[in-house]
Amino acid sequence: MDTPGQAVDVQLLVNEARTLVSQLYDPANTGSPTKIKVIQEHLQNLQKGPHAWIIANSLLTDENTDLRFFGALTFTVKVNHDWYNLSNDDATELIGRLVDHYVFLVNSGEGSLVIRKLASSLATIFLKADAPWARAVLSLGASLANGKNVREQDCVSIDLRNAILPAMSERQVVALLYFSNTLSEEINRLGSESRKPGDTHRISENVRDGLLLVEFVLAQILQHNDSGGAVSSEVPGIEAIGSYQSWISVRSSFQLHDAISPTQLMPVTNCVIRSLNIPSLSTAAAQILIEMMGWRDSMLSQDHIAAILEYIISDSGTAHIASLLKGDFEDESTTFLELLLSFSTLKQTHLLIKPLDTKHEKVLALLHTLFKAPGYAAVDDLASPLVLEWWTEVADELQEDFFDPEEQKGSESAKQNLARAALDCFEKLKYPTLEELRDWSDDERAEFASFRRDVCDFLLAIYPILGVDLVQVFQAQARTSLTSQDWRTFEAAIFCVSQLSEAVDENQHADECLNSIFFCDEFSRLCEGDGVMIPDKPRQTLVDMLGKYQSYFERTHALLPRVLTFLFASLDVASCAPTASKSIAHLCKSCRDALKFELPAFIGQFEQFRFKPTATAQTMEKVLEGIAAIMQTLPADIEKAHFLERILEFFHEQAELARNEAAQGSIEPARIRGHMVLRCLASIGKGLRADGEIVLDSVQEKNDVPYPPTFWNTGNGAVSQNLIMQCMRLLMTNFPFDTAIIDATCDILKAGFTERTGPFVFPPSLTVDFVKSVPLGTASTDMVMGTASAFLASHSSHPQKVSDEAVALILHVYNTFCWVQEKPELYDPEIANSGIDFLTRLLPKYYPYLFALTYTPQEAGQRPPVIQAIFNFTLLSLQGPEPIPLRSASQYWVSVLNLPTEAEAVQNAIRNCLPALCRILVTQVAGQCARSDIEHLTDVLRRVVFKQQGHARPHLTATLADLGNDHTGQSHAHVPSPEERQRFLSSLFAARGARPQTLTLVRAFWVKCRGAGFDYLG
Amino acid sequence: MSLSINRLTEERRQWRRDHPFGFYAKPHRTPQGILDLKKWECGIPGKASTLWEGGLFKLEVSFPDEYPTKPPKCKFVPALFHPNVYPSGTVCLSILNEDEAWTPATTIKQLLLGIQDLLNDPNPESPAQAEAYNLFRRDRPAYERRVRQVVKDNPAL
Repeated sequence: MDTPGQAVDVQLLVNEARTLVSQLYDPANTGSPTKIKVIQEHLQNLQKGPHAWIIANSLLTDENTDLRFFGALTFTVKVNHDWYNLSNDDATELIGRLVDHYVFLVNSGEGSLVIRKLASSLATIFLKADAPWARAVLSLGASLANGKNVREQDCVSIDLRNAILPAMSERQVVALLYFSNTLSEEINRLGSESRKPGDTHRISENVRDGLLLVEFVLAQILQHNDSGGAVSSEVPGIEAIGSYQSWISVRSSFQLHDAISPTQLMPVTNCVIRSLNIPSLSTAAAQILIEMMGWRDSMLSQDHIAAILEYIISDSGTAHIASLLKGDFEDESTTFLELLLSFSTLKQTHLLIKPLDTKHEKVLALLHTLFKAPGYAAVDDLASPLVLEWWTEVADELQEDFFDPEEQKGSESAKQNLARAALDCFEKLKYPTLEELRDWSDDERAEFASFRRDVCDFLLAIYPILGVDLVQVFQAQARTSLTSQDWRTFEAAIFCVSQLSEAVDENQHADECLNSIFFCDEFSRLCEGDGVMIPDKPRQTLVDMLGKYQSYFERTHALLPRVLTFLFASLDVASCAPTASKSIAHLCKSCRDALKFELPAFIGQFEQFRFKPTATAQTMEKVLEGIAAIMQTLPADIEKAHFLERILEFFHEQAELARNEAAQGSIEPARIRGHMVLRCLASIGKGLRADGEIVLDSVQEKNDVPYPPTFWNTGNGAVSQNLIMQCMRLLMTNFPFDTAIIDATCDILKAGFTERTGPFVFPPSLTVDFVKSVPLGTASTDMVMGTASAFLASHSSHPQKVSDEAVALILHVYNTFCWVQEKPELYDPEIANSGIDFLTRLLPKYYPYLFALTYTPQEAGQRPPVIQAIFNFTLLSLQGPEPIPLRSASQYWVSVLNLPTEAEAVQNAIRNCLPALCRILVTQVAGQCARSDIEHLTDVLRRVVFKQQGHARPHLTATLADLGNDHTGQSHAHVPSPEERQRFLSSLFAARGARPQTLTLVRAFWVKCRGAGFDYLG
Repeated sequence: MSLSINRLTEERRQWRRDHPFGFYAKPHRTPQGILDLKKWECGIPGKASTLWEGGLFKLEVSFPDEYPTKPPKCKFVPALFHPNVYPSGTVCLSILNEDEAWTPATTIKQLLLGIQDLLNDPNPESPAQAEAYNLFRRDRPAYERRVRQVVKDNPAL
């Protein structure tokens, strides 16, 4: 391996290595990473250098452990670096040399660190594809027993179990286990994919020998244990079980199931299972068995499973259960719990459906008992969440069997057990007291909440099996605890009923149970606040629950007054207010007709509520939406106006207050108040909308006046409408408005768009004036333009009635577009986007007005004609760098190209733009646009090809031909050949605008232009 | 069992064994109590020490029949204010795109963690909704105010 004659130099190098290693481990150097780095680099050079073999060999015989460790490491590095320069004889010699070192070091009492490192050097050699070493475990064992290297061919006939292993000392056996373990781990790490076919045989031989070694070691320990001897060291046992796990995994990943049959493995697996009874090995053995049961591994026979069962119900098992029930969740107990659960998962349906023997009965009893560990689930008690998970899985499995008539026999016992489990975890649901909760961290709260969510999942899983009986259980709990005012039980019961709403609210199955709770006197007194003081948490859960049973309350009108009274009272409690207000809105809206007579009372309650700290914009708007919905059912407008004015006056005062605040410089409070006023007005408008399907102006409508006089704009109702408009004016003009204020104003306007008449049906000019009043560059431009679109849409059955407004809005967009082109510093993608979107949305019904604007308006001076300016702007957006305007411009063009072909003005305008459009599209898809834009641009291209084929072809051809020439601005590296470009064009036309084909073609073309590096799939 | 159901059963098992803190993910249960493995209900918490901390955002994950060859569709319910979430609530993320970074080896855990990362680290290159995108680009304080409101509306507890 090394040439003699250089010995002197080598000795120098060995000495250098010694010095460097000493420096490397010198505590004085640990603080200076730079120095360590230099030393390491130096050492690495030595390890890879021509004399590394000699250096390694020499270091391995040193007296210093660090040096011996480094010697072993150097062998590994050198093997990896230089293996393929070794002849077969060199390799055999190297193995012999290392084995000799191994034997010598083991026998001289070397520590595990160096031994393991050397084991890893040996494993590295074994893993070299053509290594002349097959039965590594056997030959190393023979060598250890023999005191020096025994060549492989000399020991293959010796029996490992009967001759070699019995001749070895415990120290030697442990050393062999180290190697066996390292070898299996290395094989696992490398994986089966990189192996050559011939290797499988070598590996399979070692799996057999490795597992035989495990069996030998464990059998000895078990025998010793059975005869009453104490286990002196846990190392061999732990090492053996680790080795078992690792070799089993090799067997599975190399698919050696046939080469090493389950029968062959029976004895070793027996030993592992019996090790459960040895305290020092129990946890390690349990862990591997849990894993194997999880795989449903065929290695585990019925006898094995029976042996595991014996252990679970043995005294040791009972001791673990006792620890768990005392709240001890140390590793050993938790691992036992997992073993029990894995076993039970294997026997899942058997445990619940089949008649049970006493042993299985014990297991089933444990699965109930384990809910009784002390403390809160997931916070103190770690068992309940795991056991619950098991029960949920069982319920899911059972569902299938339950609907299968043949399996009905065992169903009664299954039902009973599931019901019992529901009661078991009911206890665990009880919410901590305020004092307890105060000590919990956020994480603990989240864990407990997550446990409660899991219980809910379990309840929903067993409902199909248990039916209404399940609801009855919680109903009974709710009733008795309500009577005794045991609020924690009441809260838990209501929580459960609440979670089951998904299953029963719609179908009325549980109505009787619900009636029994809600029609009882105690509940009535609770709602009326008559001597019953419910704490906040159960109140919150009850409020949540009421919100989940909306269908039930919708069909049980008699309960509405008391429930709504309770909800109104709950508005004062911060944790309940958001949900209570949502439920008020929902119930008032859906049962509006039944609540007519309650209206004065509800308004009275609102008037008290509005000054409470919980009266935020969010809660008030919900309450008002509900109240307004009831108001909407009043038959006479005058009655509505009467209630409405009473509420609106308050908001008018608030709007004035906000203005005063603003005037005095309290900007933020003013803004918040203003915002609250507008949001509340908007939700009143929403609530006042007629119930049910809204029929937009039908064709029968004869009246041609766009805004006919009504009760609300000229009659007595005008007071209300004026109050609303005044609020808007107060808060929109000379007021520090922001996005939220603009958004709320838009909602107020939109509230009336779907109505024929009402306080929120404003003169059309109001919307136009509002849109024009919002200054350029305000963040809510898209919301404002969306409102403009909604306005036009609400008149889409008679566009002619609002033609002036439509033109005014188009001109507003035109002016904006011109403005940002004249002053590019004002350009903002949102302006472009919202303006283009508005135009796209008006196209179907209002396009004649747009395309008639072929002139420049008088006040616009030197600007280009309207339609031309708009088209130019959309074309600019189509080639710009901003993704969102690019997308809206794409949609705009798709819509334009889809307009009726017989509309001459449209076709003329399109043809004028077609050369520019084709040039932009081709340049963009030729690699210029971003990948995410391809789809949008392709949609336009498809329409061009489909609708304008004849006119577009010359322009597309010309631009394609021009690609790569400077004046197209194309700067990418790969311009496809003229033939490729021609082929692209022909395929494009052949696809006739079909989406999948065109998209594939365009994507491929884009990748080609960008270069292969951009191909995800390539 | 089909390939997709097998895989989803395994995903469910893995999730139960080990899932990131504060997340939840489970198959949807129909009102009849039957599990639908192809539709999961998940919750993604906002990352600690970010604007999104304290929020828990509900996500619906629908798996196509071709899963795991094809990626699932992830949709926030209700739709989320975020530059990379479409107005419909659908999440736009490269690891969810068949033509981009989706691989059949991607686990549900990786997906949800990926979406959690996206919350505070939007990708301005592929905007999905104008509202959040524009605010994010133009008016960062207003964007942050909105996010804080979104977090308040979707509290973790």
